[in-house]
Parts: sequence; structure tokens; C-alpha cells
Amino acid sequence: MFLWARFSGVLTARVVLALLLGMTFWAVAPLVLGWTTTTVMTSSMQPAIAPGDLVVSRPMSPGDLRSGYVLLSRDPDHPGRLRLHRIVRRDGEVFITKGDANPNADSSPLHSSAVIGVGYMRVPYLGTPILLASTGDFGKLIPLLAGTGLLVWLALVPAVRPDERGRGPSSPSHSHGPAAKESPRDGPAIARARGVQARSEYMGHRYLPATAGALSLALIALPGAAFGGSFWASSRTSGWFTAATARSVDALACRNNADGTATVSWSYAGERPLDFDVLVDGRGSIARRGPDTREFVVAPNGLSFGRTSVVRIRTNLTREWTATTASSVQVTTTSFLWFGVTRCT
Amino acid sequence: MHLPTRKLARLGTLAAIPLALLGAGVLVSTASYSAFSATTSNGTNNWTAGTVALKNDLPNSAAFTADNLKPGSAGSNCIVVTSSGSLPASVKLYATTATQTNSLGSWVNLHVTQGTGGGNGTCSGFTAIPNSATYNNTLDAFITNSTSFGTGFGDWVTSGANSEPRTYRISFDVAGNAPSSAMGGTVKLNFTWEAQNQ
Repeated sequence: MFLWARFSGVLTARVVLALLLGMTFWAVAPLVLGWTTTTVMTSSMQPAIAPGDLVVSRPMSPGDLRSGYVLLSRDPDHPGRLRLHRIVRRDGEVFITKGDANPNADSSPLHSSAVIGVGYMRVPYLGTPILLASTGDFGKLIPLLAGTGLLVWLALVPAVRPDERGRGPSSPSHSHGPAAKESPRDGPAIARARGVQARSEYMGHRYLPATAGALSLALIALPGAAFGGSFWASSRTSGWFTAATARSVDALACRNNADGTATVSWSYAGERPLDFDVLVDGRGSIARRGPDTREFVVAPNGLSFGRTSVVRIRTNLTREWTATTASSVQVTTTSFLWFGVTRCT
Repeated sequence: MHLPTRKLARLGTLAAIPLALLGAGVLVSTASYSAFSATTSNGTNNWTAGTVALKNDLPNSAAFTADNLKPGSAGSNCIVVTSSGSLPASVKLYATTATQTNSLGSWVNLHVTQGTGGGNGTCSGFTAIPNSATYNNTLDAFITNSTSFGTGFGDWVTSGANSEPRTYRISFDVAGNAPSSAMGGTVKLNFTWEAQNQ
């Protein structure tokens, strides 16, 4: 009875191991084609995709991406992290994605340049050790690894005790050694042949640990883990910055005074400036007046005799931020008897 | 009763392994079909019991309405942002729906400091948090480079407590060498705080 239990236990272990290796094959083989396999770390895509699943994504040209595809992409919100979510909307080169289980679409849209591929195959459960290792859940990881080790060991144990040698019914009293039951007619040659066969059955499975080890290494070396986008909330306030504009003065005017001078006057309705400059064509600023001054008296001695001068006013908000009137007034200084006289013209 | 024989073991193994490999293929293809054949995303089941919530004390008014700025103009305001989600989350500040004219943003320096106190339109009582991140760059750099959670500013990580405030002091000054070409320029933006659970 024990022998049958051992027999069925070993065979079951072999089946389970073969199942695991077969699933590993589907997760790893596509890497040869340049596809990407990732471990799912969060539940944001449940029920379609669960944490611990491996998802194989194939590259696809951005033009072929449609709503409903599950997109593997670099997460714009978390540099270095991958996001595996479904496309819910496409605006040209920009994709809005959402986890099936998330209440909201992801906060940051994806540009097509961030897309790595489209989910194509899902290998359930196989990424669980990677998930547990990265979340640091050693309480589950260690039993899982130990169980796997036990499974591998059990699968490699011969299903029948080597000393049974394929014999049929045998009583415990006769099972001490094959030689005891060996009929002389069988001869040592047959015994040797059987020995070789027994060894080859055992040796035939020696490749399993190596294969399993290599595949595990490949699994660990897989490009990364895919995270669900986060829950998010935002709040905002606004800011409005406006720069002042230097404004030129208004109502530029000129009036003659009884004492032979002329007064240039203006009004101003803009931001309080640093000061005003009185500009004369060809001579630049001839005087600077304070921010509250609205007139300037042009005396004859300030200007050339016999010449007509064009006078403008420049508003200086700062030394750089200025505005000069487009309009101008003209004054002419002439010699009258022995006096110079300035008159608006 | 018969005992298991080595021949039986070999036969069993030879039959079971291909069956298992076939089973693996069926399992993978079935799982793949159910995962990727859906074309809609109908999230009704929240997968984590928890929320992320964020508000600020100036949601419907402007943190800044700064008119008539000239070289040397400066100002500041303090905004209290409160997280009330149940999940620990990191909070980032970034610009949304920003527009500018006359390249004014290039001549406005923006400084953001995280702290406590102040708020409701004033910075009185504000105290900076030592060793917290500060933002010091032009407004133009802020509205150009900090436009999403991933590129946002700040190192605040909430604990998931009931109500957790943090004050952001936002101050600005107009560069003294701002050229006259920036006259009349405007920068409009939304200061957006976003919390994402970790």
C-alpha cells in the first residue's frame, strides 16, 4: 500500500511540476520574440488580472492601439514603474487608461512613447513568489519556496524503489535484495541491463533541476513588475499674474507764458511711474520730472535759437519699462530784441 | 494486489507530462482570453478599502491676483492643503491649464516652501518645516516642466490620518532685469495639488 502511495505521490508531483514548467514556458518563451513579461503587483485590474499573475505583452505599433486593450506602459506618475491598465479613451497620441477595479481613470494620460506593449497572454499565479518577495512577505514566501523544493524533490525520486526492479508481486521476506530473487538462468547480463535501465530512468530526470533552476533565474530576471495606477484626488487654486504696461501720457499740450517761456503740460492716468522724462528730438532727455508732476516750463536758454524743437514726454515705469508719447508739441526759440523767447508753434 | 512497477512508472510519467504541458497551454490561453477579450472597463468593485481625498482653503478663489507687476514687485500667499483620505498618499504640486503672454513667466521667480500655520489668504503664523523640499525656479519653468503628478513638486507623504494639513507658502518676485518686452504680459495657471496613494 505504501508503495502505491509513493508511486501516485511521485507521479502527481511530476504532473504538477510539468504543469508549472509548461506555464513557465509560456511566460518565458515570448521573451525570445522581444515581448515583455511582467508580474502583476496590485489588484487594480481585477477580476480580469490578479496580483501574482504574469502578463506577457507584445509590442504593437501605436496606430493599432484601441480602447479596451490592456496597455503595458511606463508609469508617468512613478518613474521607473510600469503600469498595466486598460485603454478607455484615445486622443490622438495620448491614451487615457484605467484599472478595471479602479473608480477613476488614471490621473496622468499616457503618451504613445511610453507604451511598451499590449497584454496578450496571462499566466496565472506564477508570479506569486516575485510578488511575495517584492512585498517582503517572507511568512508566505518561505513556505512557498519550501513547498516547491519539496515538489521538485518528490518529482525526482524514483516512483518505484530501485530495488523493486520492476518485479511483480513480491513478499517482504523476498525483497531484501535483487540477487536473492535473481534466477541463475537470467544471468548477470540481464541484471546489468536492468541496472542500466534503472539508472537511465533516474538520470533521465536529472535535467529537471537544471531546467527549473535556469527558468527560475529567467523569471527573476524578468523586466519588472506592473503596478496599478493609484487612487488619486486633487485640489486646486488659481494664480493670475499680470505685468504692468508703461502708459504714455495724454493730452500733451503747449501754452505760451507772459514771461517768454512756454509750458508743456500733460495728464496721466496710468500706474504711478518712477518719473517722466522730457525728450527733445535730437537731444534726448533734457529734464526729468517727478511722478506727480504734469508740466514742464521750456525756457529759451535750454534750446537752440532759431530752431523748432519737437518735445515728447516719456513715462518711466522703471528705467527699462517706458512709454513715449506718439504725439508731440513743437516749440521755437527765437531772438526778440535782446531776449530769447520760446513760443509754441 | 499488484505492486507498482518501474515500467508502469515510466508509462505514467510519459503520459502525464505531455498532458500536463497541454494543460498548461489550455490554462494560459483560457486565462488570457478572459483577461484580454473584454473591451470595456467597468470598475464597480473597489479593490482597496480606502480613499484619497484632498482639499485646500482657497478652492474657489485665486491664490494670487497680482496686477501691475513691475521689475522688483513681489508677493506671497499661504495655502493650507488638507488630506483626509484613509490611505497614505504622496502629494505633489503642479501647474494645470497654464497660459502666458510676452514670456512674463521667464521673469517671475517662484518659491514654494512647505510648512505649518498660516492660511486663509495670509502667511502670518507660517513656519517652514526644516529640511523639507523647496521650489526655486522661474514661473515659466514651473508651468512648463511641472505639469503632472510625476513631475510635480513636494515631498509630503500623508499618514492616512483623518485630517492632515500642510501649508504651502507660494511667493514670487519679478526679476529686476525683466525687459520691456514683458510689459503687459500675463501668466494664468492653476496650482494643483494631487495625492496618490502609495
